[in-house]
Amino acid sequence: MKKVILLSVILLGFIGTQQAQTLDNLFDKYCHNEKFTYVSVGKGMMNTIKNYADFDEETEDMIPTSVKILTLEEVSTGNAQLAKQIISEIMSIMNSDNFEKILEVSEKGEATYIYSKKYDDKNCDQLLLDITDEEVSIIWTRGKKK
Amino acid sequence: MNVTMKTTIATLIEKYFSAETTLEEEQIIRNYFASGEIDKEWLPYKALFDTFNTIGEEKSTPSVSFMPEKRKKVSIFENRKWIFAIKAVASCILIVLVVALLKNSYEDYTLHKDTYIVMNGKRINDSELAVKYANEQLAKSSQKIKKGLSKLDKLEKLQKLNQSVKKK
Repeated sequence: MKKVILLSVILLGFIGTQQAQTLDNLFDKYCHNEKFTYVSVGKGMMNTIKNYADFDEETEDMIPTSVKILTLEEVSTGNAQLAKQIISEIMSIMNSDNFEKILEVSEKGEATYIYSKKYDDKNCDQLLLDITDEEVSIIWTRGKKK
Repeated sequence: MNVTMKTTIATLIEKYFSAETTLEEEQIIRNYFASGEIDKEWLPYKALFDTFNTIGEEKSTPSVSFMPEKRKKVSIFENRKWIFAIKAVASCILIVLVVALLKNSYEDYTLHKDTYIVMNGKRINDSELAVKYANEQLAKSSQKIKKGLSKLDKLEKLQKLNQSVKKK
């Protein structure tokens, strides 16, 4: 009986930690990995990002406060398994964290997804997942509704 | 001069040379020698007490030569006031400059603190490089999205055609 209780507790703990996987955890997990390039742009430097405004019409209603970009290169030559793993983790987080898919563009083995989540009347997150033969790029934007 | 007066003066002069006279008694002696009716016996002392009289007058009368000294004291006080005022203004300017410098460096720090790039596992605190990289990635994604969305234009045109056909 004791063993059953102990196993149940361990299993529940494991499930709990798996459910706690968030974008923050994912970026923390991979940002110092040598195979990834990670970029963080804080609030102070957001005005200097030129190409942000035209990558999505949805952003017209959003004032971005920070951008985090995680890029895995050389997918076809050696990082295919890692690419599959991170794509799987991202999709899992999008589903479990109730992100809404607002755009999907697929063509010739390449795909681009945009997910969005509104926390309240003010705060929102937007995630762009760009998958090509050569690289996987995850662009996570935190912002406030206008 | 009567005998009593003479005796008094003699006693006072004796006391004077024994350094036992009071100020009032000394004044009596000086007045006596200043009166001009001096006994022959004490004529040799006249010059001495006349000199004391003159010194006494000089001491009692305020000299004009003191005035510039008083003025000097006042001017030193005023100078000190000016020095304090200048020091206060200089301190204020220094404080303002230090605050402005600290504010600028703090704003600079807050502007760049969250902007960096990690390549090959190493953090590089180069905000320009980070922004350049972000711009490149966003430009790539933007092109793909625009390309994908451009196909929706055909769909919109088709829908418009359908609507116009239905109206007819």
